[in-house]
Amino acid sequence: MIKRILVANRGEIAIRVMRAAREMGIETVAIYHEVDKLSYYLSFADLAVEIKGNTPKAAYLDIDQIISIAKNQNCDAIHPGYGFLSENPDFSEACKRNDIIFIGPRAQSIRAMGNKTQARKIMFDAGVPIVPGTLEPITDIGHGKKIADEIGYPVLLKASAGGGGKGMRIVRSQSEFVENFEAAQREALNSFGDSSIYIEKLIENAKHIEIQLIADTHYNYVHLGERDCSVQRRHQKLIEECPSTVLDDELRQKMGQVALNAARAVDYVNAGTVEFLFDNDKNFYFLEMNTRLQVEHPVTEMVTGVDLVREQISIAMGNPLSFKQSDIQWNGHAIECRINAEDPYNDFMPDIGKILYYNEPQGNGIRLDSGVTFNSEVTMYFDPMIAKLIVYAKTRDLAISKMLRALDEYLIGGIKTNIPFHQAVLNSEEFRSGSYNTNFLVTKFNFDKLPKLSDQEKQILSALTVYLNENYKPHCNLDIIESKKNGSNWKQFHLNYRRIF
Amino acid sequence: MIVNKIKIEDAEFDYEIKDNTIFLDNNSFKIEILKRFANDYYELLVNGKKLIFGFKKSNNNIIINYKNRTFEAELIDNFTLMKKQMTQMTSNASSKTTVKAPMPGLVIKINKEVNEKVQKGDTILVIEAMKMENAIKSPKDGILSSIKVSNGISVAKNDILFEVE
Repeated sequence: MIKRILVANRGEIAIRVMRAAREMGIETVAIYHEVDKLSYYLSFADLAVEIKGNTPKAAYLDIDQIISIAKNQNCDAIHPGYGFLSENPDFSEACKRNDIIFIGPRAQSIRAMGNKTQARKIMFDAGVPIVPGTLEPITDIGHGKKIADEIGYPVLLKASAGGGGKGMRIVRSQSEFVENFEAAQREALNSFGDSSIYIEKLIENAKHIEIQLIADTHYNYVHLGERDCSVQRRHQKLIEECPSTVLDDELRQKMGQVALNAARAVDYVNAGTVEFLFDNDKNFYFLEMNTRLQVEHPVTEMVTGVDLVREQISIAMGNPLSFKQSDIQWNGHAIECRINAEDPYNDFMPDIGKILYYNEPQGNGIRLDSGVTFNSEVTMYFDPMIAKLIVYAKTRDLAISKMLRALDEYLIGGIKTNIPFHQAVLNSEEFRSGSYNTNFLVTKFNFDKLPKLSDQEKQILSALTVYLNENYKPHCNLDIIESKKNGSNWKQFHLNYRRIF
Repeated sequence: MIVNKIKIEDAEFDYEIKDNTIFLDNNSFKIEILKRFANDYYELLVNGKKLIFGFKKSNNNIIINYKNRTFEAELIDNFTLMKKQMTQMTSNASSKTTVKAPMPGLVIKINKEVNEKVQKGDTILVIEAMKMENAIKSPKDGILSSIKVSNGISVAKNDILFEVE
């Protein structure tokens, strides 16, 4: 039995886990670095404990500190979320040593899949199709160059320990090799503490299609179908959908079975995802396995009705899966847009600051997994993703209309977000046809199609600007309400509001 | 002649204010503020339609926000017109372009040296922010006249990185 879970993460995914736990009657303990002291996710936990580190990121990666908090707070399990320690086998092992349940796979499975070159070997042996390339990690730049010449350009450089697009580089010709190899090594070292790289042939115009699977400790393996994650920028996924427009039932089952073979080859337990490159001729190649819950898991939840996090916790308690393969059906269509704090009008530069206005989309078929709210501070210390907007409808066309409606309702002021970018993509011919691939944003997407002001809007905005300039009062000091701790706040509140208008 | 102009993106309008109504190009906009949030955001009624609008003024810079997009607006009257003409005259004398940090981060690589000839698009230095490397490029052809940062230091948004002459 699990009574109390420490959530070793922050932001929206911490909230996702805390919500599932609460529905199961399980208490949660949050951890936070000082910079997160006012963050939204802390209010979803039963208890919040501060962690320290040289950098905020280092605090969330500090295994000893996190384990010791879990023990002090009598947590019987830890959920790692995604990122941070989620794919660190040492963390899974440390939990086990300390009699804490790690809600995820065993250390040896993480280790086997975490080393990308070793994983390719295991997959090769298990009969899972792989992309042509190196089977050994490479650290020497001269050696790397020789291999790239042999495979033939274009090639893809990837961090051996990587994931999430960090340390990944496309090299189109020999002359670009050195610069890119060095950059990939630096990013890999910074992000994963391991600078080794592997090289593979770049399969161009491929889709990124992945299979969600889940396994219990009783050797039951079930796949939950695919997610099409081909809308990517610099190998970062931006939009995901299920089902994919290019899969039929037969192919879905076939890829599902291959993914389960991959999982069985590493004795996999809990939720995981096998990623494939899917080419124009419907060939698919093993890319990597993510041995954790994924960012885009909600689209699968919407179409299958399975609560993946609840199931993860249940599996960790030793329960068998609550469903069989034959129970899984795919109904309707789900799309997810990752809402990032970055400026699509300026080469997606990350943006930071306080959220000064916030209106969430609501209504039929809308799900929002957000890590922020009004007055939240978006800092430079973490990933720019602040929320995930997911819609569900009967058909793909209806889901697209619903997403456009939801994006229109979603107003975030104070920081720049990629919402206008999502609007442009969902309106594009390429996305609507479903034929897009991972090159979409590089070769097909027209960034001039980002929403522009109409002539009428320009007039309205001009009129508003003139009006507010005329009526502008620089200070409406809402801080007074917070700082004035004694006496009735109500009186002060009204006073302030009189000042504003 | 009295000048009252508003500029947003490529559009420029003459305006007039009477009571709570703004007149632009023969169109009138009756405006009312309903609420103000955290200083910079307003809920307004414009000819009966409710809108959310961000408006921030610092010195003479106006930044507005509408539907998750940010724009700069410029109000031009006789005085600002005169001032602008004067600053244009002085700024023409120097052709130095200053490049500022687009976001806070860590300088992890500097590719060029002071007084080196650079071309538009050359990567001058690399800043790491939010776990990604961002190449900061030269905005034009010229000589790299100064580099204000060094390898390994943290920069804040809008810190001056380098100048190209």
